[in-house]
Amino acid sequence: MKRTDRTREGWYERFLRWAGGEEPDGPEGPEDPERQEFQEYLEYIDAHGYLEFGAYRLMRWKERKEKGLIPDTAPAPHHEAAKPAQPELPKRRPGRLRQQVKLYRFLSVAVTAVLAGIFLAVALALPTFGDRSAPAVNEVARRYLEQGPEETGAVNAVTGMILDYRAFDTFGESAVLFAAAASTILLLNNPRRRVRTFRGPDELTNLLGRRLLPVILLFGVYIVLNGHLSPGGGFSGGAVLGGGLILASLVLGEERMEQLLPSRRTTRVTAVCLLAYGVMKGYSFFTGGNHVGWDVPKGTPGELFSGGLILPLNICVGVIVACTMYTFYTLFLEGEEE
Amino acid sequence: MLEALLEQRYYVAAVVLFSIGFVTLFLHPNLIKKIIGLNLMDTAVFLFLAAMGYVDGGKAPIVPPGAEAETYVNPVPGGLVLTGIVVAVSTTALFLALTHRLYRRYHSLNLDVILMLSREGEEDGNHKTA
Repeated sequence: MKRTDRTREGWYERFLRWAGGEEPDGPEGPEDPERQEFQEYLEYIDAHGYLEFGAYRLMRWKERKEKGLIPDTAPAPHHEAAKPAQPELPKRRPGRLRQQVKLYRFLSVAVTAVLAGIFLAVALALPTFGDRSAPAVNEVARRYLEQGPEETGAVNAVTGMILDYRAFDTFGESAVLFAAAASTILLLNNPRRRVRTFRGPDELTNLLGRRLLPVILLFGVYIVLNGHLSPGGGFSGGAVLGGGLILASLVLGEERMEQLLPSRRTTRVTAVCLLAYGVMKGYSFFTGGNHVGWDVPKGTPGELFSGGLILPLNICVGVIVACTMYTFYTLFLEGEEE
Repeated sequence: MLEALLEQRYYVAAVVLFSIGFVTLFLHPNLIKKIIGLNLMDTAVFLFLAAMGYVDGGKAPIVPPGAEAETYVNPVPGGLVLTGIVVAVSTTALFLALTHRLYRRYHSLNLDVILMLSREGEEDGNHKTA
């Protein structure tokens, strides 16, 4: 009975209880070696003057002491050894650890509650939800909605905005994604990695995946290509495509995927697409800003080949996002083997 | 008061989500859960921005040329949220990669344990040099 209770309680709660100065004739009994160790540990951290809830250290403490890894300058936690340094030792106050933990929890909840209260007050002071006369619905939005289809050639106002009016910003976004992928590669790339042996997908993944995969990939391509005509665009379509690639890797296995789409190639394709984006948008900024007049034809809004550079830009963004998603997946998968 | 809260329910939901994420950052020692809390805060901000763009009776901003601007929602927050989502994905991937490196080294996801082990490592270094 005792044993089941103990395991259910968990060491953290038990340490908290002991730290609260519970009488030694508790359920553990007076001679519990773990509890004695814990008392020693409490004296140790009290003597060091910092307090962490690291019960982990207690577990490692004994073995480190045997190896002589505990520095000699530290006051020895044993009563006999600590006697010469006794006057310097701060007095152990029972319940201190538990109080600190409680204070920490209480303070974090209190800070969050105060923050939430401020935010709620602000939310109540904001213009009502859906208000037409709100200051956010100003001439900028009106301009995008009224002039957007003529000036950009895109029926989807959001796509027209992010890939034409604010395309420079989107370039930065793609660069952020690329930088994240690059740093993840740097962090996770293990030179002595080996491809895990692929045991084959389970039946359900195989059955559903093989049927769903073409549909998912086609849907992703559709979203990318219709970004200027319907909700969607490079980012969302690229996410769908990346999900499709991950599913393909689950169904076909990593070795086969590594042959079909080597990780080196995805990185290269991403870099090429980023460059193509920069060149295309640089061209349109340069010619447009200097009034050279070599505009890309806009086409009639509402057709597939319209919107000038928006379609190729969407394709670039879609490829970047899909490759990045897939790269993340492969990198985190390779880390699993250890 | 209650009526106003109901009227602004999307903002209120965003505040609640944000608070849950924020308190998760404080109270959970597990690094993965901290990242989940950070993602919750991201989501709250996206919800708030998207709710700011709504106009009563507005449709999705797929505008055929020459249409009335009044019948569509504000497209600007949509673009901002898109930027935010991309940055959130990038930072999440970076956090997860760093967490993975920490796990490889310390074989734990608990922040307390990681801090303890790194301090032990420092002490060992000092001990050896001294």
